[in-house]
Amino acid sequence: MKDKKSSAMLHVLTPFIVTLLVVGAAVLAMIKPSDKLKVYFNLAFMDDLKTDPTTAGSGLVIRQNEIIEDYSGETSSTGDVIRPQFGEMYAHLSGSSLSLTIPVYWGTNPELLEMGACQSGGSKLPGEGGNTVISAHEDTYFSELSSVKPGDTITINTNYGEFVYTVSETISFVRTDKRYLQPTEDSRLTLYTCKKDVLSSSDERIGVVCTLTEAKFYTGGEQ
Amino acid sequence: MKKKSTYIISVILSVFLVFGLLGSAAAVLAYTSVSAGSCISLAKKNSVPAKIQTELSRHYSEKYNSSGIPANVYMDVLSESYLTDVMEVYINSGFDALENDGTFVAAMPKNQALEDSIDKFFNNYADEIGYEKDAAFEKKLNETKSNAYSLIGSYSDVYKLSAMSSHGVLAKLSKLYRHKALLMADALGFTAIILLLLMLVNIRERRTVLYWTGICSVIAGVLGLIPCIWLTATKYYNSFTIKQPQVFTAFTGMLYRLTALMTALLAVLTVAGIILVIIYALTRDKEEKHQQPAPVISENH
Repeated sequence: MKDKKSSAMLHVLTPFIVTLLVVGAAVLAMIKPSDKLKVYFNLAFMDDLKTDPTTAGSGLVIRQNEIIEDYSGETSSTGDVIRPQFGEMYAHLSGSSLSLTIPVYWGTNPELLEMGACQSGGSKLPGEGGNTVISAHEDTYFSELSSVKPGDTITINTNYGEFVYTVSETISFVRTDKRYLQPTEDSRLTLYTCKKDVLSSSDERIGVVCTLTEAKFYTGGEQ
Repeated sequence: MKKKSTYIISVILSVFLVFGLLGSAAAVLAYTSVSAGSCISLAKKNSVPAKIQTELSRHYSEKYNSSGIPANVYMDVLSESYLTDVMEVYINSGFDALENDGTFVAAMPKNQALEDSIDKFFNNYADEIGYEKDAAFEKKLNETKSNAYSLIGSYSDVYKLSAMSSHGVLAKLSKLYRHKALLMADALGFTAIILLLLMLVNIRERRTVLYWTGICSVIAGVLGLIPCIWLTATKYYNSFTIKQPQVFTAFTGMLYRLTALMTALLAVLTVAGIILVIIYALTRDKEEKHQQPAPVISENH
């Protein structure tokens, strides 16, 4: 009777013993490749919320901010900039001949270009001195750029100040020509996009160069 | 399972048998379900060509502001059946590459109506604005046609096989795919050898092989079913990052199908294992009853 009982116990316990051994062996075997597999799985299936494909992310952290546009406190013509992070919406761009207020993101990549204008990470922030270079798609945010002409004003609102530029010249260059995108001594704003024309090359760029005419850094005091 | 040594060796062999059964199930699934034909039929079933057409239409409508070419120049002549043909060419070329050395070559089907439509638009545009049809004009015209074929091919390559080829992934996969029959035979052969060894180890109690095979089938089935059911229930593949709807649908459709087939295969394995264990239990009870000594009847008159 005792033998029968212990035999029955063994028959019941054995599957659990085998399962533990199998799982243990699998875990040991996966220790080395698991890191690499984790990277591939994270890249392939990055949206933890398992939403539909139009909202699936790429891993880039995009930060939206409320941009101050009706500041009524004290201002100064000099001040400090607040450096944004890659993927952060840090400014609004508007113009006397633009019907849109365009969000401006720090850094350039295809995902950010779908959401607004992008400032080249290597260029200077408005108010920092030097060349501020901003680009956007010609069929969305910069669709009206070709109608901007010398004398028009462009305003950039950030959370550290408001900067007004006046268009000094319209420009046209090929993609490989970097002269308008280089750092400069003077404070300027360079806006550019692709040229739209059936018979033109897709390598052509058009844009405007603007001179800083007014800088108002927010100092925080009440007027 | 009377001897300790027999028991221990059987447990060790069972661990190998579980891996063997799981590997065999995966190999059989890959051999029978991963092919150009199955990819094409699944894509058609999920209306992928219609999605290709919608996405191309959206692309050309969005690009109108920059290109100046209305979307209907392309879309009026791009039928779903043509896009299906292009999709099939890419899938067949991809699997040809897998069966050879991974070099992807896709011969794009010519669409004369598309070329004529682009010719007509460009010529009309040039006539309207008085543009001289010089060498630059011809170059732009040919570029536009070439870009159109290139874009249609890219959108129709729903399993991204050409991209995989350019990144060297197809070449690596072809080393496995070319030998899928051999790999399946190896997996099944390994499982058969483990079973044979189990039989040899338990030669004095051959019936216990039913028990060991049964529990291994159940363990392999359950261990495989848990992740398969979790993947399906949480719709894990919906978090696939590629945003193009036609690629997303093709890839996730294939992944869900393979997961469903694997679930079915493992369910069969589990049920088979349970049956074997029940047979063992019943035949063991019968044998024990036969072995019980006959009751002694005393003669007292």
